[in-house]
Amino acid sequence: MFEGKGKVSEIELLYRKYGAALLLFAAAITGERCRAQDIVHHVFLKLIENGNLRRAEDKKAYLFACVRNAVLNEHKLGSRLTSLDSEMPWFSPPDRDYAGEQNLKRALTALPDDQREVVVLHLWGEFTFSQIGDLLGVSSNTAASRYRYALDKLREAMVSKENSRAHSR
Amino acid sequence: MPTLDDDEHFEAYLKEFRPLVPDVLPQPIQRSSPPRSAGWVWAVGFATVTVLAAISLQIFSSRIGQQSTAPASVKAVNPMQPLTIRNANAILAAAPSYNEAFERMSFHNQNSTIPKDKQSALAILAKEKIKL
Repeated sequence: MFEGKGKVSEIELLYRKYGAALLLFAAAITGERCRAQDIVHHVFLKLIENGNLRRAEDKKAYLFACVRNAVLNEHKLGSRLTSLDSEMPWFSPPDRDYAGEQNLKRALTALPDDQREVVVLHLWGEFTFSQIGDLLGVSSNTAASRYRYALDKLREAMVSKENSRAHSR
Repeated sequence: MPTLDDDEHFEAYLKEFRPLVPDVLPQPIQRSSPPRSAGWVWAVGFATVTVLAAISLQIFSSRIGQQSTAPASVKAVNPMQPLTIRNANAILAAAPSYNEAFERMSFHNQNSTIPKDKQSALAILAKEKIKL
């Protein structure tokens, strides 16, 4: 049951603060923004109902872990992860650079799952490599090296796409 | 896209892409719960106390009833009591031996409780000489 409005408002504040990064994280794993949003909503509604958040020391890390577990559980239950080619945007681009947004999304989806997770957690979740290591159950060095590989691949993919676009004009 | 050779610039460029904000969190389904006003709490407390008092009263009265019926052996020892099966059982249970039990069960002289100015029908009939 609900313990009070205070708890709900705290969870709503967390939703406002980390909702976007959590949605991106879930979308990066599921490949589908709608499903990712359902999962994030489900996680938050469960937290409101159960009130498990109070026990968590690092609430942000706990939320990301909950979302990750929810995505993986859903995957275990048999619903296949769709290919990461949905047309729905993941980002609000700077200077209405929608082509850049599509490039970034494509470059992200081309990454291996473990590298994509680390990039999203570090860049948009603003986690340290140590925190990412705790969250994913790997060492901080592993998380850092995955990030390094991922960043190189992203740059390569985005630059080549940009060049091909420039040539096509 | 700007030229982003070093990692810091590239990271800064990537961070300019802000993740889209999710839709508003749907309101959780509130389960209907009974109103827990002070009056309701008092009513529950009063009902609890009443039930407890009734239970304790019943236990107390049943114990008193047991006490009034339990010492059958005491009654059995009293020779003024009529000998019933219940008394006989009580005597058998309480007596140290069979002989003692039979002794207790045997008839004793009973002083008449009839007042002097009255006579019992049995006594009158006993005085009459009936010719057969």
